Amino acid sequence: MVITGGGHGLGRAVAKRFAQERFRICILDIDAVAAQEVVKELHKQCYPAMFAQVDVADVNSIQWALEACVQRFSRIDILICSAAVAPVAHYLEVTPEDWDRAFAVNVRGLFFCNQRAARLMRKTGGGRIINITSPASYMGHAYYAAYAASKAAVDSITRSGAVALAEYNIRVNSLAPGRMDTKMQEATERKWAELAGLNYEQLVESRTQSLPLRRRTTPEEIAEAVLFLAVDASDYMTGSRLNISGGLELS
Amino acid sequence: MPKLSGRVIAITGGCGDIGMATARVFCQEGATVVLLDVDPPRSSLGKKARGASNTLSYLPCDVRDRASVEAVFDRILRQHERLDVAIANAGVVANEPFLEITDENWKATLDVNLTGAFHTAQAAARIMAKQKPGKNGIRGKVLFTGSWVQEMPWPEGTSYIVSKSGIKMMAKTMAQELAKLKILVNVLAPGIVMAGLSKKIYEANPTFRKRVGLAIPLGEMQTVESVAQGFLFLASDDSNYMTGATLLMDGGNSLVRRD
Repeated sequence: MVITGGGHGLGRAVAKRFAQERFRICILDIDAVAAQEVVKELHKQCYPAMFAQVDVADVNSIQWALEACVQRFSRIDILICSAAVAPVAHYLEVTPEDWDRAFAVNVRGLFFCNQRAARLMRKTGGGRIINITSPASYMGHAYYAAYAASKAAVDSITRSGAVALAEYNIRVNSLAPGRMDTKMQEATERKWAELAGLNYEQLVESRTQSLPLRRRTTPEEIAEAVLFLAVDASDYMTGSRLNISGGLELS
Repeated sequence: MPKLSGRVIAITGGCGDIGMATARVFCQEGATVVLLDVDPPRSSLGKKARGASNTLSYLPCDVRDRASVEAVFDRILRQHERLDVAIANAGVVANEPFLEITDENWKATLDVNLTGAFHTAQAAARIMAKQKPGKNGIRGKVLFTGSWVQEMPWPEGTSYIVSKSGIKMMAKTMAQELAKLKILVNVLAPGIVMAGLSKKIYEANPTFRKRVGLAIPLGEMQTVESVAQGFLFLASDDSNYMTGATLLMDGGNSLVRRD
């Protein structure tokens, strides 16, 4: 199992959960130090794991990293694309750099990770690709316009991948987690609060209490659903989007 | 680790192919399953479904009839003292070209598939609303059998498609209202399943077989075991942050435009 963004947050929890299920883990992250930390933790529990630094905005970096995984573990069965950036700015203030960065990582990077992994999976009889999307892909959001647009693109890439790769026994699905306690979530909400002149704690509280289940989720809770998309039980799923957002996304 | 240890689960349309496959998987995971159906279980399937340390029982129930539904759920509550999961799975299919659909066809389909699902969901939710949350913090889960066609048309299936689309919105509205009670509501949307009517048509009709092969990106019809695994995910604690959602397991059907 190869996971981008495996050094932090959701990616890290997913890596640990998959290791428990005896997958051999490849942690890909732009933050090599974090990636290495995760691998060290996995090694302490005698799980096979490696890391590779990757900048998904660079296709050559992706290719190199995936080849390193294959060199170590001889195949890729599962690719999980969890790496993402979430630039926060009011719609009227978004800069070209913000926009390009969101798309370079979340869309272009994700696409080429999917494509390059699929080329390798095709040679070894198939596999699964799981793209992490967001309820933001369906929502209009004054402060997350670039992020939301990028996640809508992820949904489309997932569908196209499902259709294009079905004949190679490759399933492609996406998963939309709701509000989770991660550094990324904290960073985006702090930035939003700052830009909008709001109190951060009150913002978080209201954005938690307004959820139908009145609580946030955790990377560990979401990791169970990611696992479901990787095992035989979900063999008939492709091109679908698993909405696990605590009722945040109802449309 | 069994995933449904001690959970009490009712399945309408429980004696059909999907219902039995789901009951089989649930029993293996430690659940107590009550099959609700107008027809009794075919006895050989009934025996196969029983494992070593679980219970499986049957109660006659016509989901079109509110009194019938309320009576069986009342009986389940008295016997088992709680209800953890209800699956509104009873459904009929009666394909007809749109211009030829009769009121009888329309009503027959909606009465079972939509109104029947409503009766089931409401009776179950009323019980769950009054019971204490389990150790997982949840009072209960109501699941529906939807269909990939709740998202996309298939020729000559108007009344069926309308009923499944209605289920989708019922699930979302229920989810929204009942979330604060910690009752989770989700839909499982299978693809074209090798069961019941589709199975008969597949075996008898080469045109249908060809149409199916072209229509499904994964190239095959879905097994009932696959559907059962989807229900297992939705019924177990693995999906406790999921509500108001559809788990679409359709082999890619809904992505593909076809002639």
